[in-house]
Amino acid sequence: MIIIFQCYGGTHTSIVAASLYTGRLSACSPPRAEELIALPYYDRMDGAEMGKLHFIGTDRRGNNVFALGSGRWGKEIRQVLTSILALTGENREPVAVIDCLPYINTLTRLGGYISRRLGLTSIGRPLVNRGIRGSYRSLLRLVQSFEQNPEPYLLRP
Amino acid sequence: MLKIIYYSRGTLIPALFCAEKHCRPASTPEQTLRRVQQWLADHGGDVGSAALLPYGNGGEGVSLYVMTASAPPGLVERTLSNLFRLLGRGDADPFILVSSLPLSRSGSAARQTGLVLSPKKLRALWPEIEAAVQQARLQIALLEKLNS
Repeated sequence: MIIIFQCYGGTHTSIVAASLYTGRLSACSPPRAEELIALPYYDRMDGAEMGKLHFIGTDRRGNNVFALGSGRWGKEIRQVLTSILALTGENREPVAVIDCLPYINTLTRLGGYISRRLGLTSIGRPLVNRGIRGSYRSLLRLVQSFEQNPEPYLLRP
Repeated sequence: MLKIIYYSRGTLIPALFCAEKHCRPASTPEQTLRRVQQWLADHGGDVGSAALLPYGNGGEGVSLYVMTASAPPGLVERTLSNLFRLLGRGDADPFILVSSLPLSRSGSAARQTGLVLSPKKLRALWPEIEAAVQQARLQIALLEKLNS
């Protein structure tokens, strides 16, 4: 299975959710700022990277896990992917997309804008980190919900 | 069979022009317009949301599709090409996505004004349509060369 965590820029929420899922981040407590910053792609991508699938790691079953930024077109991109998969036949590898956009809080949004769009990383990054820590439990629930039952997240033509 | 997908943002119409031009390279803008109008009449008009529809046979083992969504073509291209690369391992049916970008305005606005389907507008868009089809043909040739 190809597992894709999707959010706006593909650089904060989806990275954290994918890292939680692959076990790179602990489920026990929210990560410290240093742990977040040490994640690959975390708060490092800009708009030009949107649409690229960034490999985060593999899960316990050996499935490849990716992060994807789709801007405000997440739903449309999922529809496009679903349509395209209809052409690939039934024998293809299943694709699951986990939408992390509803889990982005105001602090993450604001910090992300300041850091990525305005380029003021020293101001934006601490805000993003606080925002991510604030939504960590919700992200954990999302990841656990996918782990327990991936069916609703599978793209079905 | 190789699949060519012509993509246009917000409306199927530019993608339809490209697919029609691909099927009948010698067609004039007026002939293309008439055939696209007929296709739209047969298929219940333009679609507003994301859609992927078969258009026909492009010759030489090529199937043509038209696709629309509200997402920017660059984003769709990057996402699909990344996913194709992952799915394409051992896939016998490769895809080529070509975005036709002749619209400078949003698809909904274009549909409302009906400008896109006017002969004058189509003539203005014609070079871009020819370029998109040419791009698709070059990509087919390249793929064939790589596979031979």
